[in-house]
Amino acid sequence: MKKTWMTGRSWIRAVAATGVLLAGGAAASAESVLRIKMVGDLKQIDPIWTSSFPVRDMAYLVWDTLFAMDKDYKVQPQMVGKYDVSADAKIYTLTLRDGLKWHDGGDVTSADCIASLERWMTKDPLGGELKKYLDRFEKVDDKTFKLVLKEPWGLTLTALGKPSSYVPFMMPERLARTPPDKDVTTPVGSGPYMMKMDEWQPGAKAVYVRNPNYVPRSEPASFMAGGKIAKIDRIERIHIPDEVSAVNALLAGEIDYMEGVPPDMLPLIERSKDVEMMIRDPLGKSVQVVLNHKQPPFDNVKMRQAVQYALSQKDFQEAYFGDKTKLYKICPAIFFCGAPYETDVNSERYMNQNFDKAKALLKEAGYDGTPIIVLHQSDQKEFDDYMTVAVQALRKAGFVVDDQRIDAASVFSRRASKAPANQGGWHIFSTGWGGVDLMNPATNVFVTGACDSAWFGWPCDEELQKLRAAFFAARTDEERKATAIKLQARANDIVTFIPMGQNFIVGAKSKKLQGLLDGPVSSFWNVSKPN
Amino acid sequence: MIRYIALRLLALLPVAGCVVIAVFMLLHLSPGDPAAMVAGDLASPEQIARIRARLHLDQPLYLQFAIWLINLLHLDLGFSVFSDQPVARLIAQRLEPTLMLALTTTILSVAIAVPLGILAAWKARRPIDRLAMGMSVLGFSVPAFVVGYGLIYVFSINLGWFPVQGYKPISSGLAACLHSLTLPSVTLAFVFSALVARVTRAAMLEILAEDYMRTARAKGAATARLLWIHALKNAGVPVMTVIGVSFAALVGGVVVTESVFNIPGVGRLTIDAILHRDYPIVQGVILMFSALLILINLAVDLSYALFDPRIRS
Repeated sequence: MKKTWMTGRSWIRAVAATGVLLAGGAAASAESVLRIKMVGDLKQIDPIWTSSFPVRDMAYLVWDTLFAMDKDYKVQPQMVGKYDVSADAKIYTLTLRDGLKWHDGGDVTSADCIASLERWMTKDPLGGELKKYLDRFEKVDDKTFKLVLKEPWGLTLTALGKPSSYVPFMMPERLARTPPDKDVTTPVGSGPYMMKMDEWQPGAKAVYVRNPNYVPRSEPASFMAGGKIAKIDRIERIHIPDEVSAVNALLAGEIDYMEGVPPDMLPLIERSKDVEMMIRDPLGKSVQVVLNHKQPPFDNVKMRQAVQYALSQKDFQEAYFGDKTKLYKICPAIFFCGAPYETDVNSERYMNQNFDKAKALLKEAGYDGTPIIVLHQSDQKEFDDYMTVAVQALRKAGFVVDDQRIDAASVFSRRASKAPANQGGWHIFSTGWGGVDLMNPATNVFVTGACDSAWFGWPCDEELQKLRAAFFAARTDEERKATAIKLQARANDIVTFIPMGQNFIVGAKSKKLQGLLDGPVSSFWNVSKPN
Repeated sequence: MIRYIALRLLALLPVAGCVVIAVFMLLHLSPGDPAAMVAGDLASPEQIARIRARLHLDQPLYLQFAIWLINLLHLDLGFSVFSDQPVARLIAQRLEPTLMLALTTTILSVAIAVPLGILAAWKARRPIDRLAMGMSVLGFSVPAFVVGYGLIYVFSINLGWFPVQGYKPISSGLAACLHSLTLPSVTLAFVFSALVARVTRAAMLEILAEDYMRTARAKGAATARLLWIHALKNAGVPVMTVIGVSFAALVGGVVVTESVFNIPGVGRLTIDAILHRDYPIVQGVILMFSALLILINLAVDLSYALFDPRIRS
């Protein structure tokens, strides 16, 4: 008899095994999963090592802050349960809330917080200012510590509740002792979600699961403050580099939320029954044109003012947003329209495009036709559009323009060069900042006037430095407001940068999603996804 | 034969070495500072300088290369400048989607293209030949992203049969994996089957005109035997070559298709690393590509022996 190589029972087993293999992960799971597509990719995790916004946004899930900003732009206690400011405003006593634990089970202690603040102060400019005023930290007990200042500083809580990079996130002491120029690679925090490192694929996916031990505050959530209630079990941050595919994935229900829908794809969202668009950050972001003060011809203020006359915010925004006028705002304020320090003082030049006046200034400045090197970032449509408009306007105003179309990495590298423009340097580039970064003169990088220590472009101005110091020293909101107006007037006089309009980051979400909060940072606590 | 294989494997070293040096130099000579990108907008020049030093980016190029080479001898491809993750791990994460996509595309392409090429050669200059070659020209001409978006529109958005994007690993079930790869594989097969069909047709036409084929026909050999056994076996060398080249190209990265369907493969990893000047990843991937390319070429060379006994001897 011919020997069979498989018995009947073996066949049944094999078929069953194949079925299991094919079915694979089909086993039903009751956990709720939120799939999100954010702007940019998550390439790092340490929000103190880098100021990258994708890192900052996801860090809010993992790490928590002592204080946080609410929707009225007021700083509220977050990890701190109660705090006290001494009568002379020099001692801040902070007591942590009960029940705060790290993801590895350890208690959050004063020593952890002190070490975290020390690391943060070495990186963050506002933290650096706090350090100047700080005499010492004093640990009272495991849950209470003091910041003892040399002299009162009215921005102490503003600094501790700073919502954008670098955010003073609290880390366990062993992580916070990492040198600030080395990155923390273990995401142990005390926030509402825990990052799963074993599932992290930089450039593809990052996964966060609910922290079962998180104790939220009792107040309702508001911006970055209040009770952070993790209602979703698992959050998958999926990186989809192609925006058309991302919109299609949202329409097909494969992702639940998409940050940053390009304007030309909004009609697809508007036509859908299952998806809706939303604007979460009421301030939005703004676009800036930055000039190199160190290199001729822009070492001459008249040349810089000529650029103010040459450019038009409306042309910039229309180039990218087209007829979607509700998505952008023409704004004279360098500290943001809709924010506490909004003013239109000394904005006439860049609010009224005038080529004749630009040409007249070029003549007065004795412009000799030196080519203006424009770093034209062409790998991102938004900035490509802006700079295309800028180059045309500059040419029309009489500038000779060398339009250098390069990628983002090259712009990042070139803009740091202080060399002459024709030896690897530059004259003009464009960038973008969030409202929450620019709304306060303490965090706005364009008003330091700090010469070689200033942000790229290196405006050098003693008066600006004095005004900024006066802002830091101010005791009342009225004093700060008055100083902010003077700061804008001076910054626009010497053209530290040119504001090119504000616009909103448009997101889109499944209509099933509930509880998404407004805020300068896309947060995912309080969100639920009922079936 | 063993000596031949050993020599080909040895040849891997200098070729891979040359490729890696060339890529290393090109990448480092192009503008762009990874330290500035890592640090972000707020970093001071001093902070960026410290990051450059920590990443050895302040060292002369030959020293940077030497450090990389010494690490390589310890089987260490280094760490990503950005994520600080081991390069070997990052590449390993991306290999499965890439290899699965290459495999399914190759199987699909061969299954479509070889019969089509044979049919076209058998019915040369008749309507069916013209139709087959017309389709082949279409496959060459239409960009992959157009095919991809078209398939997504019909089969994902309208019919809901396949996912728009994403890759399901084999660990989540073979069926789920193949389901996620259907549209990307069809998209790529559209191009690669066109290539294979044309080469198969050309090779078959040449063989069908040979005397021994006429003799086989005169002896009454059945058409199927004539085509599949007598002709195809002899036309196998160029067909295998083009299949090998196609597979290598697929493994090397099909960035557009990976992007359209959001497949986290090696192609996307490479482009992303180049754009961010993440030198260790680029170097690691290029090294792997060159090794893989040489191995695929070797496999193709060895497969010739199956078709041509003269090579075997």
